[in-house]
Amino acid sequence: MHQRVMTAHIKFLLALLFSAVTALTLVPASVSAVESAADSVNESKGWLARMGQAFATQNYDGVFVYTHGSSMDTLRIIHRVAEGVERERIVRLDGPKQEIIRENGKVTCIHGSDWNGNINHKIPLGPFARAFVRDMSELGESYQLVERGRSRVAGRDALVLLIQPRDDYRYGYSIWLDEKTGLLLKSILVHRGKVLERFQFTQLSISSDIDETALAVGISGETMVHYPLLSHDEDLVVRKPLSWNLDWLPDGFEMRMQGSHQEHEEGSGADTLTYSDGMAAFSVFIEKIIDQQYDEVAAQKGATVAVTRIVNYPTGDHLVTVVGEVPMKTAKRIALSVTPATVAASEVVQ
Amino acid sequence: MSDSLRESISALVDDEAQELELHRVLGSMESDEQLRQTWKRYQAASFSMKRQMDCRFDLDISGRVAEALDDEPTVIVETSNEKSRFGRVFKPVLSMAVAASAAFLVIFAVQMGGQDDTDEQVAAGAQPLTTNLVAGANVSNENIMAVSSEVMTPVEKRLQSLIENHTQQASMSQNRGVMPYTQLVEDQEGQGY
Repeated sequence: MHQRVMTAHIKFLLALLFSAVTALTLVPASVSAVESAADSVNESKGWLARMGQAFATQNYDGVFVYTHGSSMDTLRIIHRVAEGVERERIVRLDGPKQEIIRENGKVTCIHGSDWNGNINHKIPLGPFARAFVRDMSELGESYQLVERGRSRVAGRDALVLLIQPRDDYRYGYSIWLDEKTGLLLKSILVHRGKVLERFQFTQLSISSDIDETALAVGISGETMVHYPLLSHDEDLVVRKPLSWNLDWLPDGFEMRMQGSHQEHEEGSGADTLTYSDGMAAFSVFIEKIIDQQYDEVAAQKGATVAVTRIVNYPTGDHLVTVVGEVPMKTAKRIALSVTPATVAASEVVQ
Repeated sequence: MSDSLRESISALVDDEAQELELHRVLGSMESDEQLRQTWKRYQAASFSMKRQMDCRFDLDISGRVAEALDDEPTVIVETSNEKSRFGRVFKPVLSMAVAASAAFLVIFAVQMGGQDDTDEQVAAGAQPLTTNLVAGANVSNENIMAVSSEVMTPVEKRLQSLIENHTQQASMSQNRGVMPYTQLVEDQEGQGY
């Protein structure tokens, strides 16, 4: 063996070698991906469209877990479409009993007698909504769609798709779709190699044959009927054009809604702007500070972040809060970029 | 395995390899198990000589990465540890000017949807339930705990309310047809903007 004195560049070399080995491992895959890119992207988009349909049109009964931050929920979902009527029952399997029934646009939340929390909460749109709601067929240039072969989830054959962000201002996703129906079997939300949210069926039966009794409420307790947004006056968003600008916005995000509404008790009403890039969304809330004391806040749970800044505009002190499913640094940067339409960012006292 | 390859590996370990050598070794390593073993041995020898053996470091990196990718296709090949040898694929673009000038009140928990139960919090024992004031700190994912609605501070309640509003608005503005009831609301309110 040829002997040489070992040099002191081990760490550097290891890094080099690692990148090289990684490249070796990954390059063949990406090269072949490029070759068949045109076909597979179209095919993948087709799968996404199919997935969107599957949730509403398929009949299924399954158990899934949803983890976000340090929380993990196990829920059963039963979904049936019969004679044009869509009915869905979601049963919380951990902790206090809770069920949600959706039928023809009516949402009912039922708590068991062991529920120790506030029963006047708003109907949480998640976890199912959070996992299901994204209209992935509208993905723009901000993400790259990559098919990553076949796998298996809850005993079913699945197609794996990566939805890779093209920059670091948004999260990435991996989704597993049922090969037979397109139903979403599993999804993970990833940022910097870390899984922030996970939705996954552990058991699933997709069949046209869902029994009526499976859709019946299984607990007795205080029943509340919610009509989202319309049942809470304070939630009523008055949609109107607002005079706020975002001097910086990650590429691909577009405004989907603006308006103002009264929300939390002490609030003086907040102007609201909601943006989306087709996958992720964030909302900006701007409130004038009257006489309350506020602190600047940065909070995160799972993929959801919230950042509040106090900004002095010519019209007075305001709270600017950014809430959304974007990385913290994106939210912070957006919070810094909000200005009244007539004032440039450089004139605002930070 | 040829002597020249062996020599190239040695050169590689010593960081004296030419680029062509590097390509040759890496190319051969893909198919040559003996070569991989040799590489590992040389690396290990090099490590012990330098007393730089790092227990966390698995020498068979390529295998581990491939395994990790099969198990969970991560979008960015990077560990959460920013100091890791995976290198930083992305660098923080924005250094928060505001972090230096303002104290951020870091909330370690924001309860989602009012439906988290307190099991984990009870199990976690004497965790502080109130918010912690940390000047200029960034929020770390590991430090997030569940907090029941009874102990939520006004600031937490306010954020909770905003998060709920955001979730509703986002689902209304993003979705067409997946969730029928949001569609209903959409229809009644018109298409808006």
